[in-house]
Amino acid sequence: VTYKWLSQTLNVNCNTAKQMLFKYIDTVRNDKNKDDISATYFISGLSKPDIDGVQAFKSAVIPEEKLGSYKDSYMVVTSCHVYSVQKSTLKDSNALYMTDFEKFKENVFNSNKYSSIQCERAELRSREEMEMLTMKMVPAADTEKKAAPSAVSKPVQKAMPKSAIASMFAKTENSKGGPVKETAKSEPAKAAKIEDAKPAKTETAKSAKTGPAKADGKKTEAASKKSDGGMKSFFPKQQTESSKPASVTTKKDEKPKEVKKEIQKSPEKPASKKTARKEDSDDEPIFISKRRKTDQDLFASDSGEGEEMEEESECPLPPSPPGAKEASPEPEEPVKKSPTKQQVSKVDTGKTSGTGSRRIRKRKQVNKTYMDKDGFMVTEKVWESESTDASESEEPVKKDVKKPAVKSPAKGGGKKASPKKKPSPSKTNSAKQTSLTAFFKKS
Amino acid sequence: MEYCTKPITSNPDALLSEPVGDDNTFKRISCKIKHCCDKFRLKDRNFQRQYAHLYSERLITMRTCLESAAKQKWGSDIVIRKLHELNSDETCVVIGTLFKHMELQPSILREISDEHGLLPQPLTSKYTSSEDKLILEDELQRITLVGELQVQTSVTGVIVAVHGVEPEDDKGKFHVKDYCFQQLPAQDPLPSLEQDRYLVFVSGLEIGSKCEQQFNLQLFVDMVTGQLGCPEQQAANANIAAVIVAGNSLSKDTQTKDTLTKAKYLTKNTVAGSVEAMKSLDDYLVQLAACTDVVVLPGEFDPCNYTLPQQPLHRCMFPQAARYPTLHCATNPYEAVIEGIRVLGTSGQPVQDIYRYSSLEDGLQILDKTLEWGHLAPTAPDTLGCYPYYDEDPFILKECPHILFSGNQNKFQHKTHKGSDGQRVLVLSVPRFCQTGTAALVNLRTLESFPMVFQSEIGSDTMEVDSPVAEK
Repeated sequence: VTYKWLSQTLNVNCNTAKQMLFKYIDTVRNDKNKDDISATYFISGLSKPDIDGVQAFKSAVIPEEKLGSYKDSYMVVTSCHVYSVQKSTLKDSNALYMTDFEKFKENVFNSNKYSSIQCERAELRSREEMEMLTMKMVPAADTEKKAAPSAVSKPVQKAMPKSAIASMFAKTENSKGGPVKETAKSEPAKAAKIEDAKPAKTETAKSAKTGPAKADGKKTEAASKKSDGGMKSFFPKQQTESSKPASVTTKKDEKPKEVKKEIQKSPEKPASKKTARKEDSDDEPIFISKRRKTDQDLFASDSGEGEEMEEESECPLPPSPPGAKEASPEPEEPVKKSPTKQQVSKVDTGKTSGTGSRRIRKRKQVNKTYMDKDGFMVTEKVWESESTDASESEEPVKKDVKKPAVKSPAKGGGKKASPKKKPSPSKTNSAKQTSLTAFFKKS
Repeated sequence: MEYCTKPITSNPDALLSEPVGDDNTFKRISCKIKHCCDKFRLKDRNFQRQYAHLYSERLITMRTCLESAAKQKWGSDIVIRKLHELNSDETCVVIGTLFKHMELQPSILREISDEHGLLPQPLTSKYTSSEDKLILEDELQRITLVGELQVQTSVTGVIVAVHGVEPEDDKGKFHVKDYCFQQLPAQDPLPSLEQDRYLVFVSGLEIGSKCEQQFNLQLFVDMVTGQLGCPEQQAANANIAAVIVAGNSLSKDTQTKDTLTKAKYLTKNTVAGSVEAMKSLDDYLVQLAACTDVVVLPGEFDPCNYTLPQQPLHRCMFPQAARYPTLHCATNPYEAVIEGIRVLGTSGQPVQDIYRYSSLEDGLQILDKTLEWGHLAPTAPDTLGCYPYYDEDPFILKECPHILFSGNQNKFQHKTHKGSDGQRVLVLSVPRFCQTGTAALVNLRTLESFPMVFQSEIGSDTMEVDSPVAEK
């Protein structure tokens, strides 16, 4: 029993507790006239000058036996009181420490209540203040969310925030609520997406969003993607993008519901990337970093088109509004192929729009092998950005669709592949003939 | 009762008595702390730069001070020359940066040079040897120094003004007759405080190590928070205005740097040692912060960036203690004006680095030298990690502090450094708590300092710590 333990248990001032302990010792010793308790004392004082003439204020907790010798070794004794009382002799200070420590843990913020020194300044900050402090650190995030979807990029994603925002805005304007058209690439499509995204963003539940726009389908998918982690989200998005807005959207909506997404980036890019980016997805750091890189590129090349920066960094500025990014693979390509296009990372959308010989940066799925947290080697399909010269829209790459939910109806041959999780370059959707260069593309 | 050389207590055994119930509580003395560590906070983190900017900035800034110091020392008619304008056999003054060429200095180039098949350099505590050479560099040229300027007690990075001659027959060497450093800058007058206010420095808590002293640390916390001691001593403790924890609150053992290289299956499910240690530190800090102002500096083994200036530990690492507004997380090096008294100090890395690269042995002496040289960390960036500053060098002493401290030293030492202009600086070396159980108490009114030793001798504890020696 230490004085501190006593004072906290009995709710008395610590000095009183010390005195109580002293009295107890006295009583026990006098009454019983035997000594079956042992006590430790605290003594403190100015020590005698040592070799170099230094005097220190020493404080010590010592067993009773040594009290006398310690008192002598001090030049001036400044305080002495009982520290603890126990039945058996202590082996070391651990027991004393643990007693006090446990008591302290029970009452962390009031541990000082019974001390003799009170400090006025030391008042606990209230919850609000703490939140204010944390708010300061993440100011962007909140405002972002509320703001237009572009803001969505929010703080979480560092990579594409700017580009995403710009693109978001661009898109929003364009697409105002137009039904999702195949021609995602068209500005309006994007805009629609953005619009959708916006409402989506504000709400965590995607489902709510679904209402506003069919076009959102794309967006929602994107948004939903986030929570799932990059890859997964991508797939669903991809799927939805396709021309079946309705179906898609519904699908997406469901998906998003599951996924908690605060920010919906509806950017045109179906790329789940975007969504992944939006949310703090530590799941896909790789993805994000990749995205970031691509985004930068995209941003650089993109003259602020609505390319959703987030995920789609790859697409270089297509002459036509990227819009197609997300879902509409078609828009980019002359062939409005649907779903398959979407699979292809938006890249195509931008590029394919017109220039056959433009350098297209495409996202394609490759196998990536790595060690996961459990020490297992994992091979996973991951979207990688690659740059190629393609004269036509790149074949939509089919991403594995992790989500069975995402079914792309009739997207085209490509889409169907998605559920299979095998990326299969879908050439089916492409209206253009694949050039020979496709054969030499780096994979 | 006061913490002074002759404390007067009327009744030290006051508590060896019956409980009376008239316990007075004392109020913690107020304390106006103005943190000036803004200049040590990094605004941007651009590591693409070279360090040459830092050196040139240092030279440019200190040149003016050195010129005036030189004129004062050797007369205003001396000639100050740049190295490229040197004339042979002309006694003049040259101002430049010292560079100490050491054979044993660890060099990355040597380490990776495979063709010689060199063994890696053994880790020694000192990297000096008798063949070290001193070279003076100014903006354009460099020249070897021989003469009065002692090689062994100098380190790279110090800006010095040397007075001497380059003889005709020994070109390339500058014979130094005399040298001087920047004069101690002006010091604000010491404010006169009516009341005793104490500042407590503690460092090297090293939580998480095997030699961690939990009980003694708890004693220290209890003492400061006023639980220990009889009422008179508690009244004196109430005058402790602030506690400065100067670095190495976590121990070296908590740094598990090899997790990056170890195979995953070995490090699976292992938690970094620093996590537990931080929680433990938070427990101590919450007790302290509930009662007094606490300033926490990061140190060499703390989870913080490696280069100087170390940024403050984030508030979220102390979830409990950060709830109190009295917890201040500060940069390393640290500067503040407490009740009008300028306090400046580090967690000990610069001093340790100078110890490694010179023959100086005593921590206090090294600290004193840095005051003389006018620079907190002259060996940065040469051997001490430093941020590549572009247009400023925040380690230059522009104002003279009243208290200069360095944490994580071997023992408690203090001395008063007297400047040429009447400045008086208390130079304080704060010992590592895990080794000595000692904290340093400074009286702000008189600038006296005392060690406070905490020990316990229960059972098999062997806490008979040697009395801290100090140089007066």
